[in-house]
Amino acid sequence: MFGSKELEELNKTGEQAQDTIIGSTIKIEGDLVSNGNIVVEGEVVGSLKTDRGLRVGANAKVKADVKAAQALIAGEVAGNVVIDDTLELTETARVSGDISARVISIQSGALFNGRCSMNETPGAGAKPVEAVEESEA
Amino acid sequence: MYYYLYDNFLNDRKYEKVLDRIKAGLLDLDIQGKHERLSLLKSMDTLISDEIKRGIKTVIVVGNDNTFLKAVDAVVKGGATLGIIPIGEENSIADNLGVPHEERACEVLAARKIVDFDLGQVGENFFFSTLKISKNIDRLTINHQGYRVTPRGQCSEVAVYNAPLAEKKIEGLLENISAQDGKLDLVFKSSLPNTGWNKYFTKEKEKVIDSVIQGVNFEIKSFEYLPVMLDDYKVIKTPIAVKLGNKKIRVIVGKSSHAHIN
Repeated sequence: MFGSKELEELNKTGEQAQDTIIGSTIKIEGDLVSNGNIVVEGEVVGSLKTDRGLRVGANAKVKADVKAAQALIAGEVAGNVVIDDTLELTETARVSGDISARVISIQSGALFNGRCSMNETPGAGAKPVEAVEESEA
Repeated sequence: MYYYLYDNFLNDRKYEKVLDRIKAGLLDLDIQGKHERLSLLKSMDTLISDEIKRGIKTVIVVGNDNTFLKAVDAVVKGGATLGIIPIGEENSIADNLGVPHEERACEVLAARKIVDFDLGQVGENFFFSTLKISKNIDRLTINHQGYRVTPRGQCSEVAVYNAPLAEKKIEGLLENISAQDGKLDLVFKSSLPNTGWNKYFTKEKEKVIDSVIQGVNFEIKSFEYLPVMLDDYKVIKTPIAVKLGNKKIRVIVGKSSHAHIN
């Protein structure tokens, strides 16, 4: 069974087959590149790159640099996170590393240690607007 | 010219009547051909490849999922078309292909709607459905496109799916697996604990899909030789390199085939 309701919802909506789902029963080491959405509920060490969305579940552990079009992080991420569009950290997220996105949303309770930069348009270079260190939202 | 191959379980007298009805149906629709029964002394691969060499273009297996899956390798190597007349239980493939059971299948064969399906390949062996490993999974590593996947203790089965058509229910993540997308799906399953009376009377646990990774090449290695079940009938051993087959199989399907078949 999937670890989160979100994953079950993903099943019901029948998203495309090219979605990569890394469940709690596996660990991935290396550079994972995908053209589809990536859902992480297990452990990833290395790097994660996708042209579409990334979802890191509450029990997931990601020790990797991350690049995606948009991301929702509810678990643990250690590494730099570069997002083209929207990055959302939920209340259970624990992120150590620099984050960059056009839109950033950090829920109360999320733990974020690193620098934060925002770019106005998707695809434009990251423009630092705020530097946050050792902050807890 | 059609070649009809009957599985050896059909030698049972209880199937005599249905086989007569099928032969009558084939005669009515004018799709007669050579009829042959399998036996313990006859290898299906040899029979099929010999007949293809003699000019047979269409092989129709009469039996169940197991009969169909065993025929795939020889049929694809000979470049023929494969069809099925399903009889008895365990006919999920025919059901998903939209082929009705017994003599009603004759009309589908006569209509000859043909669909190309991808195949998986391990060495010289082609497989239509799945490749499964369910023992000592924690000793496996799978390499794919610059990264390594290691199953953990909770993982109860590792499978490479080409087509999930042999599954009784195609639901959830299985619905996204297609044998026509030019990719294979590496699937990891975990077992659900038995509950209620099943806790006492059932040893086998229900398996659910936990992880899915798509690709065209997977290298499966282990510290020791582990058995790998190919299409539920052939056993090979690790290490293996699984890839999308360089050939496709042509299969006769019905009008009401599974929604993901086109």
